[in-house]
Amino acid sequence: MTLFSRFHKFASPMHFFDLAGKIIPWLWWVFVVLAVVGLIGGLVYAPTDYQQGDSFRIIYVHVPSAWMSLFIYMNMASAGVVSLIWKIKVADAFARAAAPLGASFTFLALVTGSLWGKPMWGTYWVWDARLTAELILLFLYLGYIALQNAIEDPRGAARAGAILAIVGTVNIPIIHYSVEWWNTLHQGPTVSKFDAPSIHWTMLVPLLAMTASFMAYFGALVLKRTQSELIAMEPRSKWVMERFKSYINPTL
Amino acid sequence: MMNPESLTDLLATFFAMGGYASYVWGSFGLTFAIIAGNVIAEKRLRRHVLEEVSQLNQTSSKRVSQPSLHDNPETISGEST
Repeated sequence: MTLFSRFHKFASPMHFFDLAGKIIPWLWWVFVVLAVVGLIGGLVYAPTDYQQGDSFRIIYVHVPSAWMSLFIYMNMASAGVVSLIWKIKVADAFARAAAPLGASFTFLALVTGSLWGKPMWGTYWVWDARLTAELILLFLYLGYIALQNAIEDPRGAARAGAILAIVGTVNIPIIHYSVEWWNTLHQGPTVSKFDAPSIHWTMLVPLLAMTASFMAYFGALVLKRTQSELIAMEPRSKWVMERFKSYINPTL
Repeated sequence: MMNPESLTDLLATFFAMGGYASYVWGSFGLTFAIIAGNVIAEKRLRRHVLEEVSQLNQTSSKRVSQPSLHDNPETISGEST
């Protein structure tokens, strides 16, 4: 099979549906195992921070959520590019499936950051560059969801959503570099300085485990939601009929 | 050997989170709630989509091979003999 035909096979809703069904259970296992490792490591084994005390443990939900908020957005924008160029239904379904998950991780990053900010900075919120840019990201996600609900025609909704997602990517480097470009209250990068890591491995390992577990969680849910979106796009197709006979005609 | 008192102390220290209990447990609790909420939302989406599929295919006379379904809609929910 050539690469091209493989690509087309993957892009067919039916094949994507079946492939996703095979991957999802594995992703749930990865999520559960890594979440247990990350939680025990982060809440029990990681030593108390010498400056921030035990409040630093919020990092284990805050930083993975914030990373996910950016990662999911880039996924949506990439799906948008694929959708605009090749008009592939699976890409539209994927972007629609990812948006609520991205919005919830962005919300989580903002609220856990706020709960961390109160004891450390003395305030739940400041109009600081990074915080403001992350809030804009939440509005981009909510705007995308509102746009999908407002436009009846599926092709039109997919096109408008793809353009919004692509244009919104200008916000991503702003969020990422905000702590370097501007003098902000938000602390600088801790993990990405690979030459001189400023975090001890007993603190770092749980953080990476939590991040990987969030990734697996997102993977499992986005695939499951994409499946649902594909069913909704082709409700009368033969492949849906074959797979959901009992819902359509339980006497068969 | 650990006596019960020190185990209680150990747990109390753990849950106190050095005085930041409400912030730390609030963050982890909210994370759990959102993670669980998304799973519930996914299940509702799937149920909603499949209900639509079943309705669409019942109203379409070409697709439905057994017209008796229209007479007894209760068989749609499963559990038929």
